[in-house]
Formats: sequence, structure tokens, C-alpha cells
Amino acid sequence: MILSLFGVFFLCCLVGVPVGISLGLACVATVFIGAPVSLKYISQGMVVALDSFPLMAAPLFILAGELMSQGGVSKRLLNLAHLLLGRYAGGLGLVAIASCIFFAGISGTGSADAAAIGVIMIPEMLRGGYSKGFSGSMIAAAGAIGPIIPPSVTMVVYCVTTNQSITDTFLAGVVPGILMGVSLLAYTFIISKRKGYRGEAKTYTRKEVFDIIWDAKWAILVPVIIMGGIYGGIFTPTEAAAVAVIYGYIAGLFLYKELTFKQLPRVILSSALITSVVLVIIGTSIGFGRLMTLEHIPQQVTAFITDISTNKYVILAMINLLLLLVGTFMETLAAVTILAPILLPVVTSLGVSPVHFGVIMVVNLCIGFVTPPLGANLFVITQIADIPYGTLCRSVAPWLAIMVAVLFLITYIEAIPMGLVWLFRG
Amino acid sequence: MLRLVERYFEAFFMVILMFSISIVTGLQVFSRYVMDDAISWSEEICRYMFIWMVFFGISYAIRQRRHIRILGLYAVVPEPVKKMLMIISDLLFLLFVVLLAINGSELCAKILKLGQLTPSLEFSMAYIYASLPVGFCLAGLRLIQGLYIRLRHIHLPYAQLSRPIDAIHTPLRPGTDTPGGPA
Repeated sequence: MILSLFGVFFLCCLVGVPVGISLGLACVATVFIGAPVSLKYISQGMVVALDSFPLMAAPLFILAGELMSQGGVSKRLLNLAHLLLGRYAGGLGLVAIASCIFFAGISGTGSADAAAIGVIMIPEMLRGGYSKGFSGSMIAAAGAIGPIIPPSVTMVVYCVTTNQSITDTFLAGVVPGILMGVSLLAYTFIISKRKGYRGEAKTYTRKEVFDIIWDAKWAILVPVIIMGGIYGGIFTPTEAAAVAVIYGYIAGLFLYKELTFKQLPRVILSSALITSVVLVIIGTSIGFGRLMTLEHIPQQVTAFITDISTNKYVILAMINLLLLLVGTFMETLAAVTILAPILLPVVTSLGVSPVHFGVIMVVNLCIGFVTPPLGANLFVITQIADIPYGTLCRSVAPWLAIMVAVLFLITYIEAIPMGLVWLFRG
Repeated sequence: MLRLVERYFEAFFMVILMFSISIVTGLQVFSRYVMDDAISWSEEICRYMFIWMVFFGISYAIRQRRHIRILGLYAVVPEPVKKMLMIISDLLFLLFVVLLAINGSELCAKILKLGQLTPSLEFSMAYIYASLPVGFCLAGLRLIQGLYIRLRHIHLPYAQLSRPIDAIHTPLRPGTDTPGGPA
């Protein structure tokens, strides 16, 4: 039965059946060869999986992000980043990375950040004399920070599948995300010094400084509202996401006036579409998960892994390697829904907190966004900036090395992700 | 007219549902804090709108070819095999959709007979479970539509065939269509 469940799943994925449908077909096959459940288990499971108010934070954060990037918010953040970092060595690069970090605090997904910032910054960097590989792979890596810094759709999905608190997990992502961002900034700065990429010569008058900051106020307010609202106990993460969406409508339509009523349906449709393709996977993974539990697969995996070693650090290293590998080949949210229920019992038996593990998992899978041969962000950059895929794959190595180093810091020093949680939650 | 229906049928519902979800959830916060009177039904109705939205989305994503696939194998096999794999994968998808459409309608009928009601609004749960047969029937039609169009144009290169059906005829631009991706 394990064979039919995983065999059919891998086979279907290999042929190119959508991931969610492959999960469903694997369940169907297992039911047909005589699992003690009926097909209704799967169809009902799809509805039950979606019938969740916390899960609705995911589509709403996706929509909020789309509204902000289309509605002029990302442009203001870029201006602000220019003001703050433009003058240092590698200025344009620093600006691009900082914007990705800012934007991560507004939107819930990663590739969208990379696309929104990349489309503006890569042409500028190329004009500024940066090499194609350097600038492209930089944005791809910076975009991968998106799901680590809250709000994060990936974290919402992790929490819903493993029954953890979204509020705590968001909080645990803040420091790791910023640490990742600062490391990328530092690397850019060092390389730019060495290669002589100079900062921007532009100087700002006091009035310009004030205007830029003032103009960005609506954008800066977003993370404040979201995080403040959630941690002030004013609203749940889902409600926070809805408030962010309504804020996005208002900012785009009335404050920055860069969104028209005519464009609105297109923006909403695109978020609804992204949501649906992701949530099919979550729908069918419920049935898949139940069959796994029936077969005691999580227990078997735990036994198998603890047979190899009982050292926490060794096991965490093994899991990291596994997740890095999986992240390369598999869509992030699918990986979360399938693997989190299997791996969580393993790590909790070692005393790792589920919230900490959530962050480890998300960071791992984010690195998968930029790992050749199948990094989603690399594809995005190739498309928007016309940089050959091969060039990107070759130049992404140092960025990957930094990200993996940060990953291991986050994994082994519990206080990095958990510090804020301890502080706020006692 | 028919053309517009074909193109925007699911999209129409998706936009309305998604927009309503965001507004109703926003109202929920507003009513609790500003009007000091929590709406009791908002959460429930949003969850049900959300379920329907996803099922319309499954079908629309087939039309737009946006479902998440792992296309690693496609990067290494020759052109005719790619086309064959694509057709096989769509047929497998269709198989799943047909099974679930049948199963979902049975489930829906059963729930209607049991008369199960939703907790706070108290209408029949069958309205929610109806999203299964409706969504999967639409998905089935979209799959058949896609298969029909792709098989008729099977002579075109795979990179063109793997696009949404509206873009199949647009010729390739060199350099932008990478092998295997983007997913």
C-alpha cells in the first residue's frame, strides 16, 4: 500500500500530472487496491480541507501582495530604498535587496516579489554596469526571502496542516528573514567594493528626502497594521489579511491612484487563480495524509531516522539536506503539505519545537526557489529580464552558499527564530 | 457572446467570490470594533465562498494551463515524447476528474438526503458539497477542450502546445522559452 501511494504519486508527477492531482490519483489507486476507506474519503476531504478560516489567510495575503505591487506601493518602497542605500558601494544592488525585504513584509509569496522588483531594478543595474549573472541571481535570491518574513503564505499552510499557531510562526520568521536579508546585503556590498560597482551619485535635497519618506508612508504602514493588529490581539491572521486587502484597494485606487477600477478584476482574478492551483494540492493532500496515517508511515519514518542516529544535530542536518533536495524539485506548498506531517513527529521527538521547525522548513524550501536546475525564481528572472537561464544557474552559487549558511545558523541556534516568540509569549 | 462565456465563465465567479470574501471578512473586523457588534455569519459564508472559488479555479487553471506541474523529465526527453507525456498527463487528470465528479455527486445526494445543515446560517450542506460535482464537471469539459485543441495542433512544437490555449498559435520567441520550465 505504501508502494501504491508513493509509487503512483511519483509516477504521475514524473509524467507531468499536476502535483495536486497526482496526490489524488495516488489516493484513488490505494483505495482501489483495498485500503480500508472509500473514495468519498478523498472527495469529502477536499471540501473539509478548504473549509478552514485560518487557511483563508493564504488567498487574502496573495491578493494583498498583488494589489500593493500593482497599486504603486512597491514603487514607493523602491524610492525609499534608493534614498537609504543608494549612495553606498553596490548601491543599486543594495536597493534591490532592501526593496525585496520591505516587500516581503507586505506580500505573502516569494516569486511575486522577485518579479515586481526585478522588472524595475535589473534593467537599471545592467545600465549601471553590473553583470547580467550577478544582478539576476541577486534578485532571485532576495526574492526567496519573501516567504520567510511574515506575512507568509507558506507559513499559513504549514500551520494549517500541522495545527500550529500562525501568530507564533509569523513571529519566529522575522529575525531569520532579516538575517538572511542582511547577509545578502553584506555580500553585495563586499563584492561591489571589489568589483568597483559604485553607488549612485544622486544627492537629495532636504525637501526631496521628506517627500520620499512622506510618499512612502502608506506603504510603510502596511506591515505595522498587519503585525501590530495580529500581536495586539486586535484581529486574527485571516482578518489581518483581509484588512491588508482593503487597505490595498484604498491605497491603489484612492491614495496612490495607480490602480483603476477597470484593472481591479484582473488583479483579483490572478490572485484567485494562484490560490486555486495551490489549494488543489492542499485539498488532495488531506486524503493522502490520512492514508499515510492509516499506514503508520510517519511512525515508520521516525523509527527509520532515529535508527540511523539519535543525535539532534545530525538528524536536523539530514532533514535539512532532504528538504533542500526536495525544495529543488518540488513546489514549496506541496512539499509542506506532504512532508510536514511526516517530519514533524521526528523532530518533536528530539525536542525541537514545532514552530522552530516550521521556520526551518520554510527557509529550506525557499532556498529551493533559487537552486538550479529547477529554481522557480530563476525562471521568473529569465522571463522578465531576458537573462539566459544557464548564466543565472552558474552565477547563483555564492548566493546559495550564503543562504545555506544562514539556514544552518537558524537550525542550530534556536534563539534566532524563537527569541521573539519567547519574548512576546513568555 | 458564446466566446465570452467560454473565456470568462469561471473567471466571472472567481472574481466575484474573491472580492466578496475580502469585503465580508473586512466587514467582520469593522463591525466588531467600530460597531461593537460581531457578525455571526460572516466567517461561515466566507469559508463556503472560498470552497466554491477554489473549485471554479481548478477548472479555470486548466484553461490557462496554470496548474503546478513538475516538468523535470520534459527537459531531457526528445520532442515527440514530450508531446506524448503531455497528452498522457492530461488523460490521467481527466480520469481523476471523472471519478471525483461521479463520487462527488453521490456524496452530495447523500448529504441532501440526510438534510445536514450548516451551523449558523442553517442552509443545506449540499449547497457546499455541490461544488465538487460542478467544479469537476467544468474541469472535465476544460480538459476535453484542451485535449481536443492540442491533438488537432499536435504538429506544433511542444513549447507552443504547452501554453494556454489562446497562445498556442503565437510563434516562439527565441531565448525566452526555456526547456521544461517555467512550471
